[in-house]
Amino acid sequence: MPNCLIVDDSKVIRKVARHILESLDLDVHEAQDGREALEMCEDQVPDVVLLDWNMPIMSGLEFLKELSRRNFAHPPKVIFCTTENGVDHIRAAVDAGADEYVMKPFDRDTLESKLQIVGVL
Amino acid sequence: MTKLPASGAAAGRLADLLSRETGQTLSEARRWRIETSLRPLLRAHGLHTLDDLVRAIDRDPAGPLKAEAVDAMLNHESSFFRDLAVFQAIETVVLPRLASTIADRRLRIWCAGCSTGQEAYSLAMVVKRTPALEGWTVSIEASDVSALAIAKAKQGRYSQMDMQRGLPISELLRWFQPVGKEWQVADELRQMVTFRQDNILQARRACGPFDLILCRNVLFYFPEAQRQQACSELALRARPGAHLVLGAGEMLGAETGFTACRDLSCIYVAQAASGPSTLVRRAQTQAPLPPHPPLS
Repeated sequence: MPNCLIVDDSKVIRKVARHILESLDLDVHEAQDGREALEMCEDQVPDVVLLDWNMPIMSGLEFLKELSRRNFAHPPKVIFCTTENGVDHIRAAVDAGADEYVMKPFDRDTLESKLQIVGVL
Repeated sequence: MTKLPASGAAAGRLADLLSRETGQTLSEARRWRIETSLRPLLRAHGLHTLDDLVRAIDRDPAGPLKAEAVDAMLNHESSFFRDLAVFQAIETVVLPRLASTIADRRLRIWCAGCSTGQEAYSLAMVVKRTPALEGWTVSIEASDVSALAIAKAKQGRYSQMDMQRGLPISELLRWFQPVGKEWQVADELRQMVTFRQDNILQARRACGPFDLILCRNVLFYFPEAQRQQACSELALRARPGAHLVLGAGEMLGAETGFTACRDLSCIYVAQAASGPSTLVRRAQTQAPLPPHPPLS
């Protein structure tokens, strides 16, 4: 069963995303900020990270850059999931190594489709 | 919310209307769709029930309400790269295979039942990134029975939710520009696709012959007789060796003129004939297509 780490400071978003991802047969873990997420990745590298942009301690983009520096043998796929829907933000995320990008609000079809695109489903 | 008392008689009349106008049938089990899909139309016209709608159509059978009702009952469900595995097969197997067999470097594609255009534009994106087709002249003809769907397809403008279903973010960045809260497909892709309202059962204007035909999730809306007619139209417009892509779970018998690809699910190949296809022979002799029988 693929595992997914949700990184989002919103408890509501984490709950909604967890509900959808579990219905897609993913093993789901949660982190409320980038630092906690990096520690969890050190313990176990997830198959995919669902990543918010605006969070306390470090932004999603800073997390992604930190994650890249870790040089994991099998780095996770990273899907941004954010209200930052402008082209500039999308391009910055892709340039930083994001594999996919979800613009909030999202639904089950959206997450399922993005997980298929990155090869997790 | 508009209250819609269930009226079996009115739903039956509307299902008959859909069948007469498009050849598509709605089984008793799927009649619930009628109420759901017509609710916005009722609201827009200040009508309360399906019976009201039937009476209004009867009062003005040549008026626009009839066409609007038929259009609203059609399924417009579509998304970019719907069934990703199918597009991967088209990109990695079908297009290179066709490129190796077509001498004049011209590829003609038909999306039959293209709905709101996502499938045709997805194909255009695939064509653009297929090295074997570099320098080729590729045309995509896309047709759908729904005037509303074709209007949206021609416009090439999609909501954020449309964009998120199946479209890789790299393709969004390459081919779309934001316009307000929507996204506009690039002219370079739009110029590759010709959209037209057309019923596959009376596909007079989709000339062909084509090298690749997509007709996905269309045939199962037809009863057997219309389904065979649709298959004949597809066979008529397929060049020998052309590939036909159907929806998941849709199958064709050998008598249709297509043979299932052993290695590719949902994909069929037009059987080779001793001479050019029927359509080519017709074009060569300048003979017009035979008239199509009325649907009713």
